[in-house]
Amino acid sequence: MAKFAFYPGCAAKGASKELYESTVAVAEKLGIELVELPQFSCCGAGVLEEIKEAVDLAVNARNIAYAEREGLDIVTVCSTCLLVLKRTKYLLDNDEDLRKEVNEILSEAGLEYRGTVDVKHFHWVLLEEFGEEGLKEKVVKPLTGFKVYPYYGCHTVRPESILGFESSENPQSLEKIIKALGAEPVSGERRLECCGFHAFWPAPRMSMKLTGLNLLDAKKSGANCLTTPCPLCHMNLDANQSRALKEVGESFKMPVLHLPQLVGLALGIEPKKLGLHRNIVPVNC
Amino acid sequence: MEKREVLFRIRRFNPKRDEKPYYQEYRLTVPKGMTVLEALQQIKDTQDPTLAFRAFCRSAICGSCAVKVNGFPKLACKTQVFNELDKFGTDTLTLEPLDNMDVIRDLIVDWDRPFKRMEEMKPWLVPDPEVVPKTLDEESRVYPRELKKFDQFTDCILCTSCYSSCTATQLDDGYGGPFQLARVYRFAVDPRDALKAERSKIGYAFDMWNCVRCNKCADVCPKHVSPVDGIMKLRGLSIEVGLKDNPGARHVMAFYKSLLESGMLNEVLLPLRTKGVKGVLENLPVGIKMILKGKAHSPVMKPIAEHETLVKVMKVAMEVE
Amino acid sequence: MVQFDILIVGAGGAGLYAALETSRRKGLSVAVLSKVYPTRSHTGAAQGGVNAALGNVAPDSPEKHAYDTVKGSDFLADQDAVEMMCEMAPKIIREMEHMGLPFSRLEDGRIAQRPFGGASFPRTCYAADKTGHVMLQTLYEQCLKNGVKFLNEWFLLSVVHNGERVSGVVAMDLRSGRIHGIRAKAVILATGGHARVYWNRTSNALGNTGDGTAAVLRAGLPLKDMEFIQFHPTGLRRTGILVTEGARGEGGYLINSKGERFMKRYAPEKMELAPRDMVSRAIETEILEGRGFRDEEGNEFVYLDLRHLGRKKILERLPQIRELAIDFEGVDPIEEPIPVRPTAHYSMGGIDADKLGRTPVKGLYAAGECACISVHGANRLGGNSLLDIVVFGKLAGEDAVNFVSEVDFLPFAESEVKREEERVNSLFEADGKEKLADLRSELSDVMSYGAGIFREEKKMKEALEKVREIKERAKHVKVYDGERTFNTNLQQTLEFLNLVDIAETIVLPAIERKESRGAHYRTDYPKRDDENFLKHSIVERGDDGELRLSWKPVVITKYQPEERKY
Repeated sequence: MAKFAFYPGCAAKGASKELYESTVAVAEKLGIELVELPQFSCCGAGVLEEIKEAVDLAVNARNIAYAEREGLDIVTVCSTCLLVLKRTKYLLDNDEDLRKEVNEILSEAGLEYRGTVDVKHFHWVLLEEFGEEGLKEKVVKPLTGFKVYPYYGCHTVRPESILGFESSENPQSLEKIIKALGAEPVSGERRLECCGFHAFWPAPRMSMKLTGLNLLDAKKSGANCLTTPCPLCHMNLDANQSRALKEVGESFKMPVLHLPQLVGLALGIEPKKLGLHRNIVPVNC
Repeated sequence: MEKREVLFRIRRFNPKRDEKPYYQEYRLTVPKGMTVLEALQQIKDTQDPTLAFRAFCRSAICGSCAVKVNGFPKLACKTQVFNELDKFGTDTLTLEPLDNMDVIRDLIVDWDRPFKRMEEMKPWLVPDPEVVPKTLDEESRVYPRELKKFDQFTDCILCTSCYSSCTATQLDDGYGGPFQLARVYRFAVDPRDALKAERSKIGYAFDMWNCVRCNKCADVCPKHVSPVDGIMKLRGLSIEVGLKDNPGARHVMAFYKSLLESGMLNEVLLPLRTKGVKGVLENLPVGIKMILKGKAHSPVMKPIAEHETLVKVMKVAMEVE
Repeated sequence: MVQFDILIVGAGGAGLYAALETSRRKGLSVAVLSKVYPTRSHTGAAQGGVNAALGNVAPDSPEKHAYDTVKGSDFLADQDAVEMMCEMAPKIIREMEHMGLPFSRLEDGRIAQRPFGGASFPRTCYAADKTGHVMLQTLYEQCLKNGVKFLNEWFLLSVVHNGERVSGVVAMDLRSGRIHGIRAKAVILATGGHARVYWNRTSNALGNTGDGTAAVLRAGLPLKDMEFIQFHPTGLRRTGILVTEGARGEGGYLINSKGERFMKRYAPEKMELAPRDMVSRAIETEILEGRGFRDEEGNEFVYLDLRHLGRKKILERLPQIRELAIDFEGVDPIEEPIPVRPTAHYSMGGIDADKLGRTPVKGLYAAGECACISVHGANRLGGNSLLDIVVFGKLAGEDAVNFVSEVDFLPFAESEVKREEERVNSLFEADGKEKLADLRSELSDVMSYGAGIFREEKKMKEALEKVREIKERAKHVKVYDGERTFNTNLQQTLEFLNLVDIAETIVLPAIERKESRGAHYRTDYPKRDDENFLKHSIVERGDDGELRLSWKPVVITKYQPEERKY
């Protein structure tokens, strides 16, 4: 079965450990082998580019280099980690001079970036490995009657030139998975809008307003819950939900599930193993 | 040659006459290869001469014809009808004016505000007398690797697609805007410019830290410029010139520190490091909830394996030019 | 009435350089009027580069540049003007470089230069394949810096003068639809070319409709060398969109259906880098003689092959070309050759102006493609257009500044505005028996047939008759859109009427010029005839509305006419 270098990212290792738990549980159930490389570091969430691009590229080329050593494609469960790693790969694969410069830096630590492995998001892997039909076959507790808001956010789709898995204007991966699980994806007007996470510190109100608007749209669309492939979106949508709703003059509870949590439920994994008890907005299963 | 019957839903509005915008439908037989602009002109020529839209070069360099096609900003001249139909699995194309600007008529928006904003941000070279020769007998020397730093940003054709889709522009009146901030960066790293990194202070004054990094600007740019990259780098320059005591800059330094300490982000210390005691207090209610749910890690973190290689590459990368 | 010391019409390279020049003199009121928003002008579409004898790559001199230009012009250019332009070239390039123009660079940091058609040395300075774009942006930035005033999206309707001096213009604010008189001591027309006459196959912007040129014609002033239209050899098959000469400058091949680099038959030495008129004729000849390709839509073409340049060079030096080929032809030049055919590109002729841009009416200037100075004669060399616009934009600006400091405003009769209002209003009243789009397309076909790459008397006479017929039929074209705000139906109609006026001025001198010179190639007179036609044609419209043709000598300084071999 498929084997990957697992790059959970800091959120899944920290404040979103339920994402880590659910991912591991789902992978195990589906027979996807996840090898977590102990050398993986934080990707810098893009802010390293604000220190210096060379630092950003070197740190992430280092991460990829360890996966290359194992000969394994990287799979991550964080949209921002995905974009940061993909961007590094994109720049180094398309610019020989840059690759040379970065490799000079890596060589100081005895490493080399060769461009031999790919970087993927966990939910891409689900579709690539099983397809909609295959996934359907694995479902033991179909989520019949559930209306799920497919919240993409930004960094699994944009920019398409770097991510390239699907159209950034009409992505369907989440809808496909939701359908395979027996649930119904609602059509969300704001499914591709930003949650504001990355401006949370400098502009908390703007950040909260964006999240509030997204939650409101989920409510308006008649969704029972919202699912996202990104723990950072999740942090804003779930942990900060009441604050976000206050910013748009609302107050209600909208459960927000990490995508592997949603998948896990349909695969019949018990909620505790999926860390559902850790979600701030209670998820009643 | 393949042809398709296409329904064009076009948003019409004449503020002088109409109370609110409305959609008008036109049917057109579209051959393969036809662009949205060609379709618009054909509708104007054969069905409705009153339809108003801008167009000029029709070769993707003048920036006149950006409109929203099924919700996303595109240069009408380089967008093929079939590609959009296939992408959305439909035979209908909805054409609308760009967002974040007022509509003058139909698909024509008022550009004055975004251009005025750019002008306020000093988008011109101020020659550095140390680099730019005093007489016209000599050139300034600009090395290819220096040019490479800002070259992509000079591709901007001011079509305002990025501005139309920008999340921060939508919510923050004080925000500089994606193409505008990217142009500030373009000059900040031009070796001929006298203001150099000081230009990042302009970015700071125009709320550059409020960019949410949604990457829409990079995604919609028809010339493949990535304004968000310019904005991120402009932020970096602001730290270099000493604008360090703000949440954005401190957040950056917190990451950097975490990576050097353990290789992973110290989320527990992030509020304190980013916003001081205020940050801790502001986020206390959420923080407590998270602790109760078992979502917090220990403030002391164990370094990742081979952490020394990370420290090494970071240090070396900081040194290189 | 609104008034400015100097009004500049057009915001391309010539207009903006003139504006910059005038903005250096404090206390003058100056405005730039343009029918588009700044940086939309067609200067931005110039790709390949701008010529100047910097000698950064190979030893070069302004004299050699001048010689190449004169030879390229088939000896019709005025040599004093050419010498001045080539002499000024290095300085003005450096001036723009000092303003921040992002030229591509050599390893040692100096401005890079590439070979171009008809040039003896790599003389063309460039910024990848977006040279005009960055030039326009840079000039605009500097205009903002100097506080230049812009009247954006205003449409020129007429030029007003009293026979001796200019008094202003009448123009329409497109946004409000109102027609205004604008009084000015000096007017600089920088309104661009008119190759949109060949509507169906041109590299030009939709708006390159010779608005200034037509206004000057209607004002009874002379146009010069109008028969000379340049067909760029490499327009994309379907759309005529430009593929820069830089593509051949970087080493691209032209290939026919036999797989031959056919230029060896036409210009054995310079091959693909012969001047444009020769390369265009060569391509058309290949197609006529059955060695071209034909697609399922019936488009005929040859191939421009860049594949041997390799991925890296194409991405670095010709990224935009690659993108255009992908978007508009579905062809990636890294993998496949690009289908191309000549496309109407440049107007060598235009408003008769001297080397400072002065027209016979004091205070009225013309600069850039709308003007005929003439530095391009019968055929412009690639890379000389971007040079022309900045040099003569600057000079016109300078001269206008001096002129306005010595004179007062002239009276400007309201009746001038009234007349244009009536002209415009009548378009709403027409009977609509003719359709704008059909007539525009017909005009294009007539011009391509009668005044295209190959010309002969019979076809030209037929074309002239047809053009005059179209001019009559055009009176039936109706503006259906009754709104004032941004009435693009009205604008497109006015633009078409300008094209009709201009078409006639192209064909008439073409019939009378019984020789072949540069872009004017006659199958019935295939040789150049210096004895009878080493002279500029002048076309004016008399009070009776009829065109009158006369001739004017060419200025020759040191380059005696000789046979053009490449």
